[in-house]
Amino acid sequence: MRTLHRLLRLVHNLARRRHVERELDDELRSYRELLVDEKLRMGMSPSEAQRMAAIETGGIGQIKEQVREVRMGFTIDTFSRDARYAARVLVRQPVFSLTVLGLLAIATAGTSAIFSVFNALYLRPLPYADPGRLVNLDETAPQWNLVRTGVAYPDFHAWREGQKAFESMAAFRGTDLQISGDARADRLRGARATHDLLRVLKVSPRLGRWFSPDEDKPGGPKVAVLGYDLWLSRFGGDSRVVGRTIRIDSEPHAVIGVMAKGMEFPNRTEIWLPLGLGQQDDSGWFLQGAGRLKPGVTIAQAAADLLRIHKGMIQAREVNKITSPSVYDLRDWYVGDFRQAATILLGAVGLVLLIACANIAGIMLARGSARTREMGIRTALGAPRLRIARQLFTECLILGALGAALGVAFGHQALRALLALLPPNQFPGWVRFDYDWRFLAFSLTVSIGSAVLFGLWPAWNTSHSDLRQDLHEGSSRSSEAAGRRRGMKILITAEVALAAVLLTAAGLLVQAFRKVERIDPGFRADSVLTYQISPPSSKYTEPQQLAALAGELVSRHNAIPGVRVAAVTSGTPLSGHWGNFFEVEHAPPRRAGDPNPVILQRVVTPGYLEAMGMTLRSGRTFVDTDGRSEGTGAAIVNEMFAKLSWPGQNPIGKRLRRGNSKWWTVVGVIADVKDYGLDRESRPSVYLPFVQSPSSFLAVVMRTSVEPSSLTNAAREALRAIDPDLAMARVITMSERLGNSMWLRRTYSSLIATFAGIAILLVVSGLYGVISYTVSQRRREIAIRVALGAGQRRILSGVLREALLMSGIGLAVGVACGWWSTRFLKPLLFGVEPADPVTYASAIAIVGGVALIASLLPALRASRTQPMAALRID
Amino acid sequence: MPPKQTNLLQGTLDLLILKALSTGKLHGLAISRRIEQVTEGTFQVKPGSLFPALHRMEESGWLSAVWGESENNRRAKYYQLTGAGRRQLNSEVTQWRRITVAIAAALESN
Repeated sequence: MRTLHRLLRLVHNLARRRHVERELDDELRSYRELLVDEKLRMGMSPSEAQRMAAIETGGIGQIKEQVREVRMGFTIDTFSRDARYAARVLVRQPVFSLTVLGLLAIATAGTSAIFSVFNALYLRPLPYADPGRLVNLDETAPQWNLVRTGVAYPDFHAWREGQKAFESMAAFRGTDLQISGDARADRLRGARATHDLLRVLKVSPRLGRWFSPDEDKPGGPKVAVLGYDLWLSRFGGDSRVVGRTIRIDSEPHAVIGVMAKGMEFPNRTEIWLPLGLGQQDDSGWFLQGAGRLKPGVTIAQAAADLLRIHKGMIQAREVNKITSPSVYDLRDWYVGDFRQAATILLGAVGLVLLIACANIAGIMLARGSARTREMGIRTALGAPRLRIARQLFTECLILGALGAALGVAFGHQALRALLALLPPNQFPGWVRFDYDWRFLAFSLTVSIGSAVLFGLWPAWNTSHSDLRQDLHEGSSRSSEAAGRRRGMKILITAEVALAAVLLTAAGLLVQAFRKVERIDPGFRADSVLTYQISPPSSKYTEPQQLAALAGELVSRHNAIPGVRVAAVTSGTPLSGHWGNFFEVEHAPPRRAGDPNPVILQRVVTPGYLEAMGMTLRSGRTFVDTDGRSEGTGAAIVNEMFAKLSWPGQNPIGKRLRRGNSKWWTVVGVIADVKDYGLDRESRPSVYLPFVQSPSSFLAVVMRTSVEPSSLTNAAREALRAIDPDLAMARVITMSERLGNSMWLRRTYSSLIATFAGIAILLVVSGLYGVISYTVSQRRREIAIRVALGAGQRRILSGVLREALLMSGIGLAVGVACGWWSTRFLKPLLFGVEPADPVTYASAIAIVGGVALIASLLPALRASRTQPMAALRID
Repeated sequence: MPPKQTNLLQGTLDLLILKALSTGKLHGLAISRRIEQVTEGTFQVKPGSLFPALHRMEESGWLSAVWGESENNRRAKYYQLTGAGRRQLNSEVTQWRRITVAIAAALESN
């Protein structure tokens, strides 16, 4: 009650300072007026009364000053005095202050940089209203060896009709679109979506409107909604664009709206078209779903709701025996892949923080002993313990605040450097790394928290000590000093242990990275340039047109000087999955429930294997006549497919077909290609001649005899000569693609290695500091021992033994903890054994070596102690 | 929490002010006049000690203040005792009685 009252007064006094002052003025004036009235009543003349009143009141300014002093908030003034004193202390001991500041800055910079990544990916709300209820809908088919198949429209339609758990749901798919007409042809990131998408996201267009259900039907009108950025960049932000007609994929579309700023769902989308599918449209599992759960409905309940509908359809749709709906948090759909790495990095940087804090605590302990005398004198002069504690607290606060400022500045640079190293567009468009209150709160907490906790604790310990001993202790012989040394040893041992944990983790991850890097991708990545085109279906309506286009592309690109072989494919390695099912001739009938893994299908022109540098294991590559006419149907399979379909037999000459096609003869077998990433499993794959099964999605591949990206312009010319409406997209060399596919692993491995390096440096400085300190504290003892005849070697080995004992214990604990913590790393280790002996041996060697180096110098110094000089100092 | 005992001189002033206000609210001048009156002129409270004391006691929650009209229509700040102030008065009175008895006893002895 009292406290509350005081607090209220404090707030009142500070917040309404001017009001409080004015009221005091009024009060004093009123006092004098009342005094004058009194004098007048006593019969004085007005001027006499004024004079007497003024004399009796005395100095107004003085009274006011005295009143101010008794007010609440006066202590704030005391704080600023403490702060000034603390600043003087810190400036007077620059080595100490700078060391602690540096440690705080390093720790804060590292943690805040990693935290801002974590924050951007996992803590900030998605940029939609009430994002916690948004989910991603998909299907899963374990029997096909597919976790995510995508959603088929008939399934989605049934879900939407029958569901009870959702407020609304929508389906969409990303698609590349070409915009042409008044300006140049451009490839846009487009999306086709059902009419309910904006209801799910609770977004309204900025201009015009979104599709109506009538426009989202087969054969519906051609309409489009522009993204905000596209509207600005291509249409100059002109609001009359609504109602205009633009050409998308060579067809006129009416612009009916402009999307709200920042709305890019699903990802960096620039333009939206209606999905326009009917209930019976079943062209495969190529959609994604988005849903908004009803309040209070869990993901599990929603999944159960959809499962009920999905399995109820089996009568009419037998494939639903194999597939099941799955519901994911929308955020996980976007960034779930990074969660493990981000969490591990956060843990690693947390260890660095702890090591830095242990160093700070060690320094504070050492400094505490130097300050005991000061504290003792102040106590003797009557400073209350609390006052001294407040003084120390203020010092830590100042260090913490400065550390936070430095750390945030460094952290920002570190984060920018880190992001600059990443390949572009790896994160969804809504991920932003700018600062927010979470970041601010986190950085301040880390820095000030570390400074205060790890600074105040040892300092507080020193102010505890008994006065007489304090005054005595400048001579550093007391049991206090021994206790303090023990405290430091524990800190150092803990530091070594933490560093060993980091070192083993880093070692394992780097080993895993090396191992992945050495994996044969199944193609030769050097000197290959690729780009993509998606010919508009309105212009290229017939498969023959696509086949002709592919033929033209091959010959035009082959004519470019510097191109050795050009080819066209439906997709290069590392560019995505295209699944299909094939039937193998004379295969025993498959029983229900037997695994039926999905097959990766690629459609390629004859030069592809050579252009991509794939390895032919047996048979031959495609020739021009393959698939051209009746009976020449051909296929090339990878080893995995051959093993799956014809175990122990020669696959050449065997036949397979897709759906109701003719039988196609296997003419060649190639080595498995790492189509999904070096650290991912390959899938059984079938390659078909382009003319046999033309694809509406094309990638041009050129193996070059010159630097591959130098041919970009020549390739653009070649494409324009064929069809100026076709836009070139995702121009990239295969080396870049391969490098990009490794970015996540490369990033976290190198970051953890960096952290381990920093940890080692911190341990070296900490160990060096503590050993030096111990040696200097024991100088008298050592001097006596030397005087009594202990040789240099003996002193040296004594100090070294102490250092190595601490490191040894730390190392043992650390390696044990490191081994235990590998369980969290296991999914990232790619088959590197968690008990990998090389890693542990090097960790032990590094920590041991470092401990030896750090303690050698102070040990040598100790061994050269001159007894007379040392004993005379005190 | 028992009210903190103030040192003797300050405590005396506090006690006198609290006592002066025990019969009702008064403004600053009236408080010093009342003290003068009841101590028969022994204590003359100057504004330089009166106002810091009043404000300190207000900060401590013993007094509350309101602006009002004086008898001759001047605006003045009136102070009155709060519950805490009344308790403080009682405890100070007890303390004071103890001290006077003790001092008297000390002076009586040879």
